[in-house]
Amino acid sequence: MRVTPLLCLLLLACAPRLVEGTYLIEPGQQLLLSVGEHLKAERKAEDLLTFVEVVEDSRCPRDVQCIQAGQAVVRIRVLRDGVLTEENVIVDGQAIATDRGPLELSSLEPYPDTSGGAPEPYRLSLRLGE
Amino acid sequence: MRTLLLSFIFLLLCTGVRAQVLTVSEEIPMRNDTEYTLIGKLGGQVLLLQDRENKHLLTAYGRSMNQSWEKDLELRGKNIRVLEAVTAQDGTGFHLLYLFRDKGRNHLQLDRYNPAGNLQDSVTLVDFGLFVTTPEDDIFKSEDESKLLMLMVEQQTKARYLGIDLDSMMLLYDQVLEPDKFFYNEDFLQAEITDRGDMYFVVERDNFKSKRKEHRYEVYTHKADGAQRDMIDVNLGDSLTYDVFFRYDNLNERLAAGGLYSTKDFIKAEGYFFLAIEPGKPVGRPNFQPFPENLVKNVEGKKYNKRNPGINDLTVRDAVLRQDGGLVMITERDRQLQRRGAADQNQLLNTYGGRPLIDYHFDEIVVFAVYPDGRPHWSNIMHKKQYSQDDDGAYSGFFLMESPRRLRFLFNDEIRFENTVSEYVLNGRGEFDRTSLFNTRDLELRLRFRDGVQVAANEVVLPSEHRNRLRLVKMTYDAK
Repeated sequence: MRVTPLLCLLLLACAPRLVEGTYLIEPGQQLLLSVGEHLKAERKAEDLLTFVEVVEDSRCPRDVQCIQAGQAVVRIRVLRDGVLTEENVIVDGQAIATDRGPLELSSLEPYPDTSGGAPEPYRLSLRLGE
Repeated sequence: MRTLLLSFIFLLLCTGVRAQVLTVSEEIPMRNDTEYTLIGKLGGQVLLLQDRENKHLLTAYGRSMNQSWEKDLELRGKNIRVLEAVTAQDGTGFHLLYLFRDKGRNHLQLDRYNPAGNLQDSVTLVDFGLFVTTPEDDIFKSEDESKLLMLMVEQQTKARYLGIDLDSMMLLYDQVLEPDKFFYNEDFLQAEITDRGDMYFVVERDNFKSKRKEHRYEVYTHKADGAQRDMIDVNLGDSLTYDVFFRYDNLNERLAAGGLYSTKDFIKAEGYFFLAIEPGKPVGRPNFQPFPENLVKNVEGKKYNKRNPGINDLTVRDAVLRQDGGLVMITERDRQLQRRGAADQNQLLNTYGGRPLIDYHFDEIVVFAVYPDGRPHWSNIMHKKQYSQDDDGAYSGFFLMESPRRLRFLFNDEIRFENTVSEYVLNGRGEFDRTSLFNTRDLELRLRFRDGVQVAANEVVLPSEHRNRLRLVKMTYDAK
């Protein structure tokens, strides 16, 4: 059984979708966002975050002996000081500052492997600070 | 005039699986006094800064390496000398650090630009006043490229060091280091700055055969917060340092070094060593490891000396930190031979005016991997043979492209126009493959691998200089 898609479905089921590709997040809540999707903290507010693209995914696959660990870097558009700023962020569990408090970029799914199957689309796991 | 760019796309199937895409820009005419800096890639565009007759032209190249735009940056003051250009890792722009003169006084300036080349912020960090002599300077970058360490040496007996935080555009410190009996050009080995801004300044002591037992390093440190200064003494036992390279490991918070040692003289290195320096902890004796016999035989060939085994002309080029705290030390054999031209020997007039010719040889790459405690893991040799004359070896050597799974060594097979570009791909177990990538004559390229810039885990931009014409070559690997 694949746990990740199931988890994804569960998380998305908990997050209210406002319109196609836009989700509402509440403090303490965690959800998964696909490329091009948006996040709002209030229904009528401006987008808090947009997942623009995956810039780099050099993370070492689980079954490979790597030299370095590698990293996942995503490009996001984030609302900070009332201004939408586009920037690259390393997904390492650290929180970024937003107008609605710290937003943790927990992980980027799926984690690379060498199984050779068709790659699943990327999903960014986020958690808004309480 | 042709507006379409020369854009070559080569899908070279190396193993039937991996491929590279090569994209080449249009030619840029160069003068002898033109200097250029490859800034990197921002907002999907490759940025090139040219210093042409005191004009600072910023040129952007799009995805197909077509010139998107060009701007004349208005830098402050006169007698401008660009010291460093650093792209911000969040992709929001780049910083330019430069020296300029105003009313006879010298200043250090830091400017921040957005990816479109618009000035966002500008600050004069230091007023150096008048320079009595032209100072030597050197710049070191932190691993995350958020901090810079600048060394200024006006008198050989002391070094002024400045820590710069690029995010806040502020000076972290500006101090002078004056160790006892210090002569910069002889005793200074290397400096490093950590992601937090701490400074490490390594001085070499008594690296002579006659004083072998007293040979040591003095590692001067300066903490960015609290301005605490310290000195760590590192005893090298009874070995001489043949060559060494330091790198700060931000993950494990220690200064790591990979080096080559000798116990007799400086003609050959007899082995390699690993050293880890953690502030506040006692520094153990470096882990010295003689070269494996087979490795020496393989490198030296017929010159192998059983009684006194070793490798000559070996230089430590780089040290790649491993995720487990170990290190991969990359060395290369290089030598320069000076000789008189044949015409000069025959006492005929020649165009060199008696100036000796210099032969440049850049040969084998020898790699050593060690565990975090310095124990040897694996070592290997990647053969190449590069020879050139009177060109400073500009087209020789290799470009190291780092990615977590593998290290790629890109290089010119031969230093001539009709040449093949090859690569060695080395994995974490020390196994490698050699592949011929493309022929440079077909593309009219002369690649300067040592001046390349890695702009992504799978992408590198290399300058090509041929007959005073510069072209930029973007090489993108399959992301797998």
